[in-house]
Amino acid sequence: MTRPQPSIRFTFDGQTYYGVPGDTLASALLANGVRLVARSFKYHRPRGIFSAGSEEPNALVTVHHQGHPEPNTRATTLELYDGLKATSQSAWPSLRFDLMSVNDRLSSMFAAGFYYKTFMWPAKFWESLYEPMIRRAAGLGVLSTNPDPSHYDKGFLHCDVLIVGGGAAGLAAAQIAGQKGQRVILCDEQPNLGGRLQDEQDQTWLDQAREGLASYSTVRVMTRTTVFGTFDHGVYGAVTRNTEHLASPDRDAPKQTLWKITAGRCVLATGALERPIAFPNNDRPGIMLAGALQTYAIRHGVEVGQRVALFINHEQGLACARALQAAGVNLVAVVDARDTPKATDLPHFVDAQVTNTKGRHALKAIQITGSDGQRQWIACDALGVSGGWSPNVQLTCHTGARPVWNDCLNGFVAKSLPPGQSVIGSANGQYALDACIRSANECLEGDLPLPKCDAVDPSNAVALFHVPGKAPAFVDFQNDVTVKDVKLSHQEGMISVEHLKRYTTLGMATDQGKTANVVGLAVMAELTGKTIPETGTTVFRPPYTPVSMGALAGRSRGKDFKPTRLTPSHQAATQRGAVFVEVGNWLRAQWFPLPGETHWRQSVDREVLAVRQGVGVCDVTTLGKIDVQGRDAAEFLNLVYANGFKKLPVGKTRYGLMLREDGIAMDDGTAARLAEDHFVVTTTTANAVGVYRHMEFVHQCLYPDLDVHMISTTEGWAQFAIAGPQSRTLVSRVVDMDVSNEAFEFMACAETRLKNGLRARLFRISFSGELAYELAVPARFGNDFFNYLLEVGQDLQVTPYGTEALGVLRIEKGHAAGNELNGQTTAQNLGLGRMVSDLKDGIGRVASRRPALIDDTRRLVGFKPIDPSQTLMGGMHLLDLDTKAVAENDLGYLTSAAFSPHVGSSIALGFLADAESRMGEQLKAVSPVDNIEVIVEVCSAHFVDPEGERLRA
Amino acid sequence: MRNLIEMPASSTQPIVVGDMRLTLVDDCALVSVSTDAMRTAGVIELLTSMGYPLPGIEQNTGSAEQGAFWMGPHQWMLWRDYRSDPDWAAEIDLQGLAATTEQTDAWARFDLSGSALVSVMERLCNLDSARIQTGLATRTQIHHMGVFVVVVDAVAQIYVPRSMADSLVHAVAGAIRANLAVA
Repeated sequence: MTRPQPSIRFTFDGQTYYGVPGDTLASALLANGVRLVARSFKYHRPRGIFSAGSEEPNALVTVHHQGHPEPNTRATTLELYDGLKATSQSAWPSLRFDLMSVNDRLSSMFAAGFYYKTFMWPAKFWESLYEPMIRRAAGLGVLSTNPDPSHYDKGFLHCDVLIVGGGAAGLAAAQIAGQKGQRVILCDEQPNLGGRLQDEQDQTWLDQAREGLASYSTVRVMTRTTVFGTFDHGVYGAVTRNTEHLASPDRDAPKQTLWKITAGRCVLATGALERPIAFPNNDRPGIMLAGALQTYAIRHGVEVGQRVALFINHEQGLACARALQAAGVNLVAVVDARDTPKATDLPHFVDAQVTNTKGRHALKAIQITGSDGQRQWIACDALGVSGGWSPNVQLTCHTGARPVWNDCLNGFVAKSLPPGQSVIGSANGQYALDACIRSANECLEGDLPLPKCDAVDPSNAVALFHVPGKAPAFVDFQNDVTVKDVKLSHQEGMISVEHLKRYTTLGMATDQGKTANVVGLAVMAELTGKTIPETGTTVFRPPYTPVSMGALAGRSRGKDFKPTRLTPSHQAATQRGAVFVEVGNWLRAQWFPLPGETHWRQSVDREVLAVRQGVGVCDVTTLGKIDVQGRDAAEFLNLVYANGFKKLPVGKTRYGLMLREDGIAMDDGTAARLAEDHFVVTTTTANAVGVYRHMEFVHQCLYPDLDVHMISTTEGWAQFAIAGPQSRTLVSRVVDMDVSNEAFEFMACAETRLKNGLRARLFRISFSGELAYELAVPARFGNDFFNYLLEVGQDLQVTPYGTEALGVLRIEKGHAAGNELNGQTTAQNLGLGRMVSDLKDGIGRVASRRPALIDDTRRLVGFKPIDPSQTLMGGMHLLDLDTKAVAENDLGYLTSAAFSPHVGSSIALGFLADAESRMGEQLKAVSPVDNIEVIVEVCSAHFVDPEGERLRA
Repeated sequence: MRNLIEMPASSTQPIVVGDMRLTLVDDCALVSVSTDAMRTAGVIELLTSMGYPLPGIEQNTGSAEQGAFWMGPHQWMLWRDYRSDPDWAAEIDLQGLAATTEQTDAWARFDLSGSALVSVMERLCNLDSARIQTGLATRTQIHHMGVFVVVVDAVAQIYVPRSMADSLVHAVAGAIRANLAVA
């Protein structure tokens, strides 16, 4: 057994070791003689390395990458790099002397389902004491509460053929598809192609296959890439680990990349997983899968033990034994459960079983019991176990299919497959090299030559899943589930395999029962007296191996969680010191503090009063603008709005209310008629996309015959509200048209030009209740136009105002906005019932007449506190003064609240039952959450200019 | 009234990493055209006569000066140089055969080019890399932003809503650097 001079330095639990290039942490630890690497989940039993791949249930460690702890990392897949620092998990104070191993002594108390039966009293202790205690005593690694310093990426790939698994079958399939010029993606979770061929002495075929593959330009090989899930429509999820094997990764390199692969077809060459056998004390460090022994010996040159034994039940086990022997492993026993002729070249114990083991922190001896009952102890420090192979069918089951049991193979194989998916090689029970290549030839209509190999009959096996005995025999190593636990769950009425899984936690946690499921199922079948097919199998769901949350998020974290939309005047607002607020994806100026203003209310009150008394400018670009054209545009708007639009004259704007199909208010806005066949519809900022989508739905699905064309122009025009008694003066200074009340009356609109010739759109609409205009210019000029308006209106004390003042102004005026259009309110609730015209049809009209909606007496009204110093808040509920704050006494709720500098107190809008008859009444507004109660007076929602004289001035 | 200063949608300084280059193209005037099945043939004939032969589904056509790309069923975007005629959109007369809407400032166009164009695009959007060839015009998403991708002469023109231009630059620059780092 050859191994280069160790040169890669790493630490495990603070101890320094050295490994060699190509090592995994597991192989390096084994090479350094480290057997004990973990403590078990529940009983804190000493555990060692059990496998050599992603199926590992035991050897989970915490890796400290760039100072950030990554728990539950499989030592068997973690590639060694210089400086790697790993620590063990779930042990205190140390791995070797773990005080929590007292759980093992008390294991009878912690049998399956113990938490359903114990800690029942007192009930209140469950959450506060028992559960935290159990969680501290059991479990895997601990997540850091610090942000992950790594970054992750996402991507999308497309191919004709996706081949999952780069072993013999996968390599053959990739060559065949490559020969045909098909676009192939070949993924393998390991760093090198070859799968288990890497563990063979003869690498001839593998070397040729790798070389052959490199010559196909259409074949893309992705190693360190796990295809973790099958999804609908030929989509597969995969994760590439880019940097976890590197000592000093590039700062820009994402740690992992999540790929969404769309494949014309998918060939699964995922191999098979070796099965353990549950025998008494089968979990001691040094006991591992036989195939893992072979991997460590041949691929890594690691001598796992000085005296090695095997426990097998099938013909391939003998091949493994011979491979180990050829590699120089000192085999002291090959315990074969079959009654088969004795191999003369091996220490072959036939018709025998391993019935117990010794060694607390590392295996020291195994007990072999023959069919005659004769027992003997054999000293050994490593035991390889192989109870057969389970075809790796998980990816065939992710969309709902269940595998079927094959008696000949003693394993489950795929039956019904997702569209476009095929299974070849060991994943389909075709284990030998020639069988793998033959299956690839058949699947992809290839003609690769078949190499000559020794025939191994997979059916030459005995079905052996567990060996009876008193000591615990582990079925699921990761969850500490024993044969006894399976028996217990059966005794306690768990009939279905799904019950078994939930009751015992068999097959859960990070390994998803890769080595446990079939054994658990077989034990269950034996107990119920059924066959394995009758017992069934559990459902496999994505992911095949754990996918980190970071990979799922990709770059969508922190401020990159979503795109940020900047208004045209963003730079100008920034220069004026604006405070910004997120409104959906938009960043909007919330207020513009002036020197000396130390509280936001000072700024907002000033801005509100400036609009009421002079003129203010606010960027309202974010409001949705939908261009609607066509011969039937007016008829179309007549349908989507509750009120009529057909007769709206050109040059006029109308306030409109849209209902959902169920009659609930959806959005409000305006539609301006620029020409007979041309409107511009405005929406609220929040509903810009929703309204556009709704209008497209109405057109495409309900009224496809109408000649209507829609497109969003929200981004194209920078639009500014210019509001206040002086707004006409300011507008007249920049617009090249007569804006007098006579020439351009309330609700007028026009396509026009600025005085410098730039095209513009002008609307005389008001959200504040003041004389107001909205003026739009092409977006690229928006920033400077905002500056120019403030420049040219200096003598008018023009004031920029933000969304906070905008909100106060509209609450003072009693305008509904998003808080009131909350998806639960009707036109009647909003006091807009008369807008739902009965003279025409319209979306939601009929449904809005439903008794449940008609009978709702809540109306939008205003509220002000009796004590002006008190503050109202949105969300407060309304009650009669003498009633308790309980749901049955609820009269309604406040939707919007603000301090009104105009009124001089806090004011609010809200929905109140029988509001008309309660005008002037006193009620209490309560917030039980904040323990606040305020006596309020019911009043008109119009705190400012109820007659609307100002906006028509 | 003085002339107003234009504000580009994002920095005019290109992002250059290796031979990959992302450049804002701020002088592209856009007009959307929308018609229906009955009038499509007439629109194609008329626009072809005006120098805008309309492309087929998910295609683009054009010259160095002007062109068109497909946006959806019976919908196209026409483009040409903005500086030569900022009012171009209002001047297009399709004789009632189609609706036209100015889209110049609704979108910001970025040109992405370089030897790793395909692998960078793979990190950005769900677009089959085999289709990233001259003639393509498609609608897709980049980091939750709805975009058009138009490919002309090994350059991917990415049209993103103007307000999101900075976010697009951030996303593309990140993908370029990530691609280079793992290449």
